[in-house]
Amino acid sequence: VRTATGSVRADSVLFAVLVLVLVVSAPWLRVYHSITVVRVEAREIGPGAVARPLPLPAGFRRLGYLGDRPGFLETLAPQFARHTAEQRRAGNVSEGAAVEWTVRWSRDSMRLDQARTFVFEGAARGAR
Amino acid sequence: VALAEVRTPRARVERFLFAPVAARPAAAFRVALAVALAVVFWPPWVERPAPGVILAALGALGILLVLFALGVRTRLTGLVLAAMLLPLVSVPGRQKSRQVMLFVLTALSVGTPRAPATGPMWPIRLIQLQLTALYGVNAIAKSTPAFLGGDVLVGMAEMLPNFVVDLSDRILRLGPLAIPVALAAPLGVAVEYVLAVAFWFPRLRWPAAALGCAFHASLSRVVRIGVLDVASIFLYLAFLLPLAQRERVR
Repeated sequence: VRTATGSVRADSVLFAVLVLVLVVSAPWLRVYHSITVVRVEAREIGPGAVARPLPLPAGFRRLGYLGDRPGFLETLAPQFARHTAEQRRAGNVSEGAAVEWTVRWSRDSMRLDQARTFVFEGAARGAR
Repeated sequence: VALAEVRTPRARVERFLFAPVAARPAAAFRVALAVALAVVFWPPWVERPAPGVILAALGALGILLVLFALGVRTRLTGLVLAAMLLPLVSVPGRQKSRQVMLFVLTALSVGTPRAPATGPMWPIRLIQLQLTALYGVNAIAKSTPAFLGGDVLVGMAEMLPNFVVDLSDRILRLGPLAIPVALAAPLGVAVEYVLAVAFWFPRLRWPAAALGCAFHASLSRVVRIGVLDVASIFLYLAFLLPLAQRERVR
């Protein structure tokens, strides 16, 4: 028998404590928790309800890890408003047209069976 | 009578935990650990130009790593190193790899005798358990219908910037191989279960190590996981090196 401390009992206690540390910290080794798959589309709604797709900025194509964050829509909404305002200023949206953002998502599946639409009216901004 | 004593459960546990470590493989493992620590804790997070105090701390870490690798007061240098590295575990980017390596360093340092003598096997057993925990936790986490069906992999490839493959057609292309995601996902999870368990069986160690290396090589073509590959493969050494001193049969 070989020990680190000179006593089998003390070594056993150290071993048990480190096993406990290992077990308690093991969940932090998880590389996968859950994935929220989100797709974003933007359209300009012109006179007569004619819709025209708007190009998306790269940041909306791959949103990164939203796994366990329930309020991701609340973080997206201000970005939609900002991007809409930028597009209007740049003249990429027709005068008076509304901009409609549709977010479809699902957790741990590709069904994308949940959706929410944000509409920014031509004259006054708002969410529906 | 001696043989009967070795076969009792108590004697087996004693041998499992308190058999002496072989000196040379232990020294090789310590050197490998110092190298792996340097890789995993390498400081890309340091702003450039770095303030003098940071450079001094890095210099001290480097010296301690060399002393640790050389086996100079291993217990003391190891524990001081662990204390200095602990705050860096939470620095974003490589937390999991750092957590693994810090645990290995702590276990090895705590389990080294103060006197210059070979220590017991239990620190090595802890490092072996770390390998089982690393693969086991992830295999269990992925054992859900959504992951095993492939949906999660497709979703992650679409959402996460560290995925380097396009799985939108639900086919994983690895060189000449085209594997349906619905097959690749359960296969990957099965490999993780095998790696969590197989190393404990001496005859399966080398095949398991080969499987693990192939697994991580394939994984690196699907997703970038930083240096977690290095940390995982480093842990194989705790099983592959002949660390348990062989008993002399009289």
